[in-house]
Amino acid sequence: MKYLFLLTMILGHVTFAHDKHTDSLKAGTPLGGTSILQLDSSWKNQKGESVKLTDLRGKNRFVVMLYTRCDTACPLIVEDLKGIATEIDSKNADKVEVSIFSLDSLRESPASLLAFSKKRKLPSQWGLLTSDSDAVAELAAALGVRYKRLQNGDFIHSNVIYFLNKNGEVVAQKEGLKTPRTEFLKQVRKNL
Amino acid sequence: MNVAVILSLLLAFSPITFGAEAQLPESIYSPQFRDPGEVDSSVGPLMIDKTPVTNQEFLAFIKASPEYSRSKIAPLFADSGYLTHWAGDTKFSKSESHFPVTHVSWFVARKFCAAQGKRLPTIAEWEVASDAQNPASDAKILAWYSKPNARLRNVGARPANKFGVMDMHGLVWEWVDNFSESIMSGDSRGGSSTESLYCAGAALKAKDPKLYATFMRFAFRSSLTAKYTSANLGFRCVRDMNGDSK
Repeated sequence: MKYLFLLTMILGHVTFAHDKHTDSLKAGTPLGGTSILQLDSSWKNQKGESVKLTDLRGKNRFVVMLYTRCDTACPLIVEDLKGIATEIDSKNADKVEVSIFSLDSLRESPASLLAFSKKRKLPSQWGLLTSDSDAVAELAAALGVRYKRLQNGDFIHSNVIYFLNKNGEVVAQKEGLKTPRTEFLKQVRKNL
Repeated sequence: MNVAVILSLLLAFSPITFGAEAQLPESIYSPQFRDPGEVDSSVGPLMIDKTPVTNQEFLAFIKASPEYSRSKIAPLFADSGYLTHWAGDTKFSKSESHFPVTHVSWFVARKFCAAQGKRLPTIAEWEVASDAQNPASDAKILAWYSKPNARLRNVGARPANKFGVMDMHGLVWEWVDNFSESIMSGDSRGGSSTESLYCAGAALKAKDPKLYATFMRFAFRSSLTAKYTSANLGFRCVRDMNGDSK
């Protein structure tokens, strides 16, 4: 059983599916406390697959919220995230997944997420996710992301990178686009 | 004593008031504090609770959804102040039955409304229904804001406004669904992390800078987080006329 668990974890690293590697952990203690995964909302990823927040249990995770039509701040935060991901030691790289949640419940789709992923040359294992306005509002509220849709369809929104532990609790966050990474990375490494 | 006085007395002391709704006709919301490109919007028609949700009404919800009781709620959904004015999971002083429920978070207020087939009002809806953004009511509202922790009393005890809605001011502050749209820090504004909307943006772009009370509500909302609770923050729900709560 223990080996099966390990095997599942290893497989989870190499396949993208959010929902495969976490089965053995899901059976454990119920989520509680400050875990954002308790929201249990349903999302669609860039491949059109359904992903529940609880499926994201079991891995450390960088999380950002943005919208892919954004051509000002969003490319910057994604570049920042790429940089941070490469600064995680190579032996730790597979211990952390990345989930990008869209704020734009009206216009985002798996296709637009996929297009953004290609345009920004994101690693294919990064999950990009979209859902309805309730799911977006609750996730944003749980993380502390503030956002506002403007008349022209653009959003004003917080630019924050969150680091979640395996249970989905926020253990570190990096606010702003040009802020130094040092302290954030220190917190991240401490939790790997 | 004329009929109007008798009627308003009846309204004030009648339990019929609790849970009743008023109709907010289709109206234009003209925001005081605007982001670039933000224009007037249309709200309604919709049904809005005449009074804030009371302890008694909230108790019925807690009994049906015990996962939101004080002892069971997860810290993600409410801070440690959640329902601290109650004596236990389902107990509070009987004299406070018709007081507005306070010490509730955005998450739970939202669940309460959803359980009634309703939702929290948006900023635009709340501002229109409160009839607050005019100079005549601003001074009165401001006088209330300046009284810290004013004592609570039964809901529905004061005259209704022109929409038939009561207690929008003078009793408790209220949650709105999109409170997080009130953004006053610069961190979400495209990279200028030192720019503060609070000073540089909102004050300059206010249509009428004399509407201090409106500004205070905007500032208050910008300070909220979804699990925040306090002794003077309650809520009421709205319902779309077509029956769809989205």
